[in-house]
Amino acid sequence: MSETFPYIGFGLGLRAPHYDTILADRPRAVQWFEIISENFIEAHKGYWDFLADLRQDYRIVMHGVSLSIGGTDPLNTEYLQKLKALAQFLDAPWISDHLCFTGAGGHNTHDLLPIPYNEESLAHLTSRIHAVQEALARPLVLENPSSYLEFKNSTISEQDFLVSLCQRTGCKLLLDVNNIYVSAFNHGFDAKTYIDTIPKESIVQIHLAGHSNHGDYIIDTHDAPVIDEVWQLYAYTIQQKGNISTMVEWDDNIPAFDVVLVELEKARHFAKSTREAA
Amino acid sequence: MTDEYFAQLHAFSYGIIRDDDRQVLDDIASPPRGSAQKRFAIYTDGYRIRLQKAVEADYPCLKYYMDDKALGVMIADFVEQTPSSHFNLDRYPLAFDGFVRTRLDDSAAGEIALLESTIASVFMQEESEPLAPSAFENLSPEQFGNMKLRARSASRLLSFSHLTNKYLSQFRAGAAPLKPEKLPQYIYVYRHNNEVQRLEVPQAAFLLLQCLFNGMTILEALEHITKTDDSLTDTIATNLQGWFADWMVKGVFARY
Repeated sequence: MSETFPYIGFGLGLRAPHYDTILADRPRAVQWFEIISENFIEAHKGYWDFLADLRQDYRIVMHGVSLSIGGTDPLNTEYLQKLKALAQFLDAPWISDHLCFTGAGGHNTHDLLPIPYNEESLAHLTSRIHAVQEALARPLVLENPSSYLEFKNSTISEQDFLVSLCQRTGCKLLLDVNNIYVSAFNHGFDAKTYIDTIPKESIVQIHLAGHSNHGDYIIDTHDAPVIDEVWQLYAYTIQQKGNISTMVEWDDNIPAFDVVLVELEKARHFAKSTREAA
Repeated sequence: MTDEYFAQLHAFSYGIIRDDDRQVLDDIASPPRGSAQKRFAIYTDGYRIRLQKAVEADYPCLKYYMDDKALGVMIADFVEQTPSSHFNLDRYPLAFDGFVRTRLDDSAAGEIALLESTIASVFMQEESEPLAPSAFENLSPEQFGNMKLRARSASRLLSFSHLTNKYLSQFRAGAAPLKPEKLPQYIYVYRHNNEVQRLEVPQAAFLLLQCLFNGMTILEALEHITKTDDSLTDTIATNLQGWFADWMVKGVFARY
């Protein structure tokens, strides 16, 4: 299964408080939008009409939170069919989700739960990614999660785990630079080493977001501006890997659209100045 | 998948849902700062906050009717007793109205919860095409009487013992309504033109719609209602034409 993943520039997460502004202004500073797949796959026709309208001016990529690729419950075929239908409707350049599980025994915690990284889980995820890619008829894009704990029986680093998954399945990566920063803080690893390990050709997209620092740990809350250290890590990523489609997420305490646009302009600035300095 | 992986993920997931870390802590590596217990609590706390917020968002009028603290306690209890089983978080709050009715000896609160739950549910459903007014043109009385009419796909008929819909309308308009008056109220909640409509109807019209949506023809429905309650005969005779004219304009029926 091969597919090209175009560079599509700088985008934003599409969030309900901004719908009216976006439809009215059609901001050119935004080159594409990322939707949360679950917000739309079961939504009524009015929402799909809204997306179709938006699609006239923007590419729309799909980002999910419920695939539970690391989970032990059977893959949800209804969910996959709905994802595929929406992706076809939008002609979405890619569909992403997270390296995590979301629950077990038929229960959904609506959270991105960590998994142990070892040979057993690697084999399990490899099998499930193959099945998902067959169902979606396209490579899956997986995001590195932010996590707050690690398992004792993990024997592989997260970055090596992701690289192995890419090699074994042909899946691609959504590199969340803020998540790397958060997990590096929470677990005490080196963020730049993590980035260095990921091959450039595996990265399709970058996420940037704000977080909450609680002293002993950081929580990935997406409720604040991106902090300077994460911008520096983003610049480092662009320096090492080159141009990568980049978007800013803001999911809680969502400010006016102009505020989010400022964050996107910062991303553009950091990417440009990094390239010019190279 | 190995048994160990299966067991580990199940223990983790159930530990979050049950807020019980006893089966989990041995699996967690010591973090560089703080404790494994504290790190696991990020997930157990996050789970509760997420589900509680989702429920609270769907019941703003109930929140106004009850005090914040009482509703908060009830939502917290609901979350503890009701794990989510669907990927769509928007579906999770829909069962809360039933929980309210079993927990509270307050029929007005139960009705407000039911109305808000119905609005959320109808909003999520796909709407069917409305029946065009032309469907009633040039019909003989016999043809009209033999018509079968269907409810819109995203819809629900509700009967209340309080003026619950009036109370909700006042709340949404920014007023500070007192308790809902104890008077019967009948409502047809349905999606039309991508918006949730709340059509208040008199009792006789409610019964007529109920019969129609149960598959009776118009004539069968009218006979059934007047046979059951003769006092409604005059009301129906006087208003039938006006009701249908109004309903056709408002897209009450589904196209067939």
